[in-house]
Amino acid sequence: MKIHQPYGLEDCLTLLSELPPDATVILAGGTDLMPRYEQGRILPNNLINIKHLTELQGITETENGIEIGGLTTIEALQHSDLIRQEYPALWRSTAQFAGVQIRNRATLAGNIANASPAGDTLPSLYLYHAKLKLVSRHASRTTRLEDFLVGPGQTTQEPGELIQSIILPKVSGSSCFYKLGLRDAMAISVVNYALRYSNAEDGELTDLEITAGAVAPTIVFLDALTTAILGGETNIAAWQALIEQDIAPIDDIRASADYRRKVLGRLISHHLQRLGVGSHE
Amino acid sequence: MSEKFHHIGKSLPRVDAPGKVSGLTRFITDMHFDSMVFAYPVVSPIAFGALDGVDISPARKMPGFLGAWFAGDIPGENQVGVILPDQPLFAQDKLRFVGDAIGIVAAETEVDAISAARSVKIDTTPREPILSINASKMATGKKIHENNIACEHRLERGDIQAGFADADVVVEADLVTPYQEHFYLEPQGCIVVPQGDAFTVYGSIQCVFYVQKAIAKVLGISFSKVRVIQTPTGGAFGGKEDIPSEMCARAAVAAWHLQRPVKMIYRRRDDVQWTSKRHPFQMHYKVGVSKTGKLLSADIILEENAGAYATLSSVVSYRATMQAMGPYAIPNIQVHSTSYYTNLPPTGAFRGFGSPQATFGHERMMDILADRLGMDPVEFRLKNILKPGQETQTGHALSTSVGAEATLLKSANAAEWQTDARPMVSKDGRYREALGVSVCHYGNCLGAAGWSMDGAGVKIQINRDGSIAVAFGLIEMGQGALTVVTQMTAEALGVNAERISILPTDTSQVPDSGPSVASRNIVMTGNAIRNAVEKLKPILSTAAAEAMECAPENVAFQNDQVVNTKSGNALSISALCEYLYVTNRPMDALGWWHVPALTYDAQTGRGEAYFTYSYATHIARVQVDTLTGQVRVQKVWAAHDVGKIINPAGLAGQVQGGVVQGAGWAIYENFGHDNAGRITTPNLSTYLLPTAADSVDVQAFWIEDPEPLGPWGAKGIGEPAIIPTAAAIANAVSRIVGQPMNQIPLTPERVLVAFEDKVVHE
Amino acid sequence: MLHVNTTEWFDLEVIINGRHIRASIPTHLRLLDFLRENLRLTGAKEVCGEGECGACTVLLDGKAVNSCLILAAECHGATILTVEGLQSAAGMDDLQEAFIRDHAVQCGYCIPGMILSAEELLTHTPHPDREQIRHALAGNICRCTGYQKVVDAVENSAKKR
Repeated sequence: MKIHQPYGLEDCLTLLSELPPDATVILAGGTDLMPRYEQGRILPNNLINIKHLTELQGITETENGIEIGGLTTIEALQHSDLIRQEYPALWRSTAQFAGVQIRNRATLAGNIANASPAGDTLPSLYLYHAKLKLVSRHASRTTRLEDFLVGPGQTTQEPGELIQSIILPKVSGSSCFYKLGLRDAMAISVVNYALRYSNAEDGELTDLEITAGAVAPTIVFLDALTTAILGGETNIAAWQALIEQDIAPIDDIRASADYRRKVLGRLISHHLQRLGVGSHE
Repeated sequence: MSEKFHHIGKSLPRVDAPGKVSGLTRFITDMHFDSMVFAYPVVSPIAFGALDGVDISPARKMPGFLGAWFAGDIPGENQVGVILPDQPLFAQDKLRFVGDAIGIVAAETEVDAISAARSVKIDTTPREPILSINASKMATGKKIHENNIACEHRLERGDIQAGFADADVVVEADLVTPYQEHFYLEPQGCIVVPQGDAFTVYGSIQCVFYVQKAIAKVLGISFSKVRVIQTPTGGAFGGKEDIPSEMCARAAVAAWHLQRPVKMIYRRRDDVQWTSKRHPFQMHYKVGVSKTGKLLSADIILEENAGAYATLSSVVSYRATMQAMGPYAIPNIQVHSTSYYTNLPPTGAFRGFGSPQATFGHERMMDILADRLGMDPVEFRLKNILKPGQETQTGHALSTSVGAEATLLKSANAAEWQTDARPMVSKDGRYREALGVSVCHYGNCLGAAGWSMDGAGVKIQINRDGSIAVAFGLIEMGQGALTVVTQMTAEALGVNAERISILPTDTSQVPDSGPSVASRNIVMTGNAIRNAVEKLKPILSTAAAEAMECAPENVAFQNDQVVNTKSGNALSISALCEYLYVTNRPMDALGWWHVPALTYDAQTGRGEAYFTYSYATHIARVQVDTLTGQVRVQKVWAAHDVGKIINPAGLAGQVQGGVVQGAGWAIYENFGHDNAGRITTPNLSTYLLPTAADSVDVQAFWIEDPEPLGPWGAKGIGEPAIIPTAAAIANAVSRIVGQPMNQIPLTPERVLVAFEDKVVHE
Repeated sequence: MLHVNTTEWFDLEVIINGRHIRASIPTHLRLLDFLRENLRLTGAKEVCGEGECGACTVLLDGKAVNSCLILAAECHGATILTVEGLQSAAGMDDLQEAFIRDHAVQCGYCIPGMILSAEELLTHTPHPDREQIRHALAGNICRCTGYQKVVDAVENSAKKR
């Protein structure tokens, strides 16, 4: 295995364009990648360590929101006042992300590229309508995150492409993230969700979006529920069925599909009730 | 007590801590020898079936390949069963679980050895595996061994039918406890160093004498040719009781053939797939009580999943049988325990050794019965709890050191146990809290079933410079043995702890001291130290008297000096030791202690099952999230009758660790396997251990009710620390949910289902 | 344990425990193996090999990381501190002393990693509360202590700083 450690984006993209895609792997934090090799998979002939690319680092405020360099670590997000104040759901998800050793290495782009249905940062990024800036040697493009992630471990990333940054538009209203794991730290989500809402001055809900993770092949928007609620559906008994329209959970080692369906409904209903939405009639 | 101690009862910092915090302690994984090679086993890829042949040609092509050895290459006997002779070192025809060893491969590097072992082609004829107690019981014509029962135990006392006839309330329940993986952080490992026809073995080992015996048998050599030296052991919890015997014997076969040092360290996923775990139990309890709350009769069926080989099942289930109804007086009882073979990894020793399972049984029953009687769980227990003058369920009349009641009162008091303990509900209704109580007893040492090997030794050697070296036959595995042995030796000799060094446990230093299990170290080694010092003290006193020109009866050992009590003159210990040497006096002594004879009848299970018992009560305050079913243990009040405290801080550490390990078993550690007998929780992202964030606040209390046969009155603590925890948690959750939670782990899903059932029924 | 089709070599320069080290290493060598096998710095332990236990924790440019998930070659130009580097001529580091004093050590296999995670915590949060300590140590699994005395040790060490 050859290890390539480019110090500039251009060098990196050149390398990416020249090396055979099926024998080349990009290494960022390595926290998802390396355990797979430990478990028996053979390392690629070419490994490109991109951690030295300064072009992919840092959190920048822009006119319309923020731009987060793909190599920004989860720990850096956790220590960012900007993220904590403006994107609290994302900030909360970084606080509950693995342990400090992983947070110090894992990158936001890596969490996206890994495309786990349970990826902790993903429901918040969906909620904030994140876009990705992808670059390759001769081109760059911007795509919506929800178009980039297509299934467990599957993305629309092209050979030779890198996630340069994650773009979050300005957000209105309040937002938060909730994760249910099987222990209080170092847990993979059984279900997770992010929720954003705005109120009018009289307190009436004017805007509501909810995304949920670990309940479908990718993150989902609970559109049936939020549309109904914004349309006046306040009967909590009706909500469960609305949630289930948008999810397709599976049984795995952590929980059954049935439990995931049930518990997501209970958590979200409870949450909305605390916001003053819904009644039992 | 009027006696004043200088070392006993003091929190001497752990003598092994400096090496461990500095990273300089050398564990087996850190050790190297010149010309050392690496070995790895070739194992069965199937859970059940016939072994048709192996093809090592792919391994031969691997770089650094040195050889592969199978059943036919074993110089001695192909047998490593620790109690029953049912386990070959290398399987020859029948394969009984995924991980059943077939042979061993050696190579120049660790990576090469592992790759070569994995490359060996194994031809098999698979059969459908038997993967549960019930499947094993029902299997007709499909036998894992000659039959599917590994062992049975019975206890019969009184007349249970008459007892049930007298009872006002009779309750029956089925209870289920799961596997628990030890997950000692240090993996299994050893290095076998051949020297001609003799072998020195280093390893992470709980029972050095078991390893010595296993290697002697497999290589067909005498015990004297096998020297086993324990290396600092990074956690064991029972998991390094019997497994090192088979592991070291496998490495020894390679060392025998190669005549080079052979190192073998199991990779973590393999360690989980291949090595022992806590026995899953399924239990049926039928218990009768009077309406005044007196236990009258119990009929108890215990069934254990023994896995592919019997290993230690017969002694695990012996203990569960002897303790099945807990620390309560009950006149009529019948217990029948059966261990079933299955095509899963052999289950064996795990901290508590059948007791956490049995305690889950009797303590859930006590709560169910209290509920039926409309009685408070603590009050109901107090009506039945063993007191001096009463007999245990096996008919063992107890006279001294019965602190059961004191532990219950102490913890109930501290937890502010309320008779009307309806769950507390949080303001938004989401969280509910309640207390749960659980009491246990634990027979110290090996008991009647293991009496013949329940002796242990210590060698104390005095050096000319006044330093003292102690060799003991049991081991340190994290529990603090080195520190308490230091304290007990210092106390017995009347010298400073700094003079004392504890040597690595070594079969060549002291006679066979049995296994380091059953919470027996303090009792066995402490008594052996006193015995050794009894032999040394007259020599020391006579020499001191001679040196100080006084009468021996005026010699006292005080504050690290020898004092002439008449004149007040003093001699330093160093000067005395030099004097011993130059006057040609013996400078060492072997101390020995054996558990006194026990009166016990194996047919009926009646008699003195153990020579004494430790007692404990845990009260857990537990919170349930009614939205998700998540269980959190907020606090545990743990009261333990330890006879006499040797090291308070070390003792607290044992109990805190035991509680969290017990909470892990009760809540998080959801061990699984698939239909092919492969473990589906082989790593730490699937098998969840409690993290620091899940830690439990433990408040511990000590009852010191001295045991006359214990050194300074002390009894064992290592295992009682974990035994009552799971039942206390399950009892609290049952009260919160309003449904009997008779199966653990209490996963959110299991709790939520129970909770929803309750709501529907209301 | 990592596997490759062909072994390639890498010239590594790194500062470990204040020592400048140059070595030619296989590109697929993990930092953990470089420390343990090449340098015989065996304080960092391998327990799970998958980044779930923290026993192999070292400080890489001051940050706690799992050395089992990092290739040695990735550390080119970096500064690494292992548990062996905590001790100076003046004796043990105050956290090490606290772990001894507060009986935070049992089997000891997790302790080097645990202490290094605590070091990082106290660097950016000199006076953490118990909840912060528990959260910061959540990536370091201990099977013996139940963590209570570990948290005590970190708390008491912080108080003395």
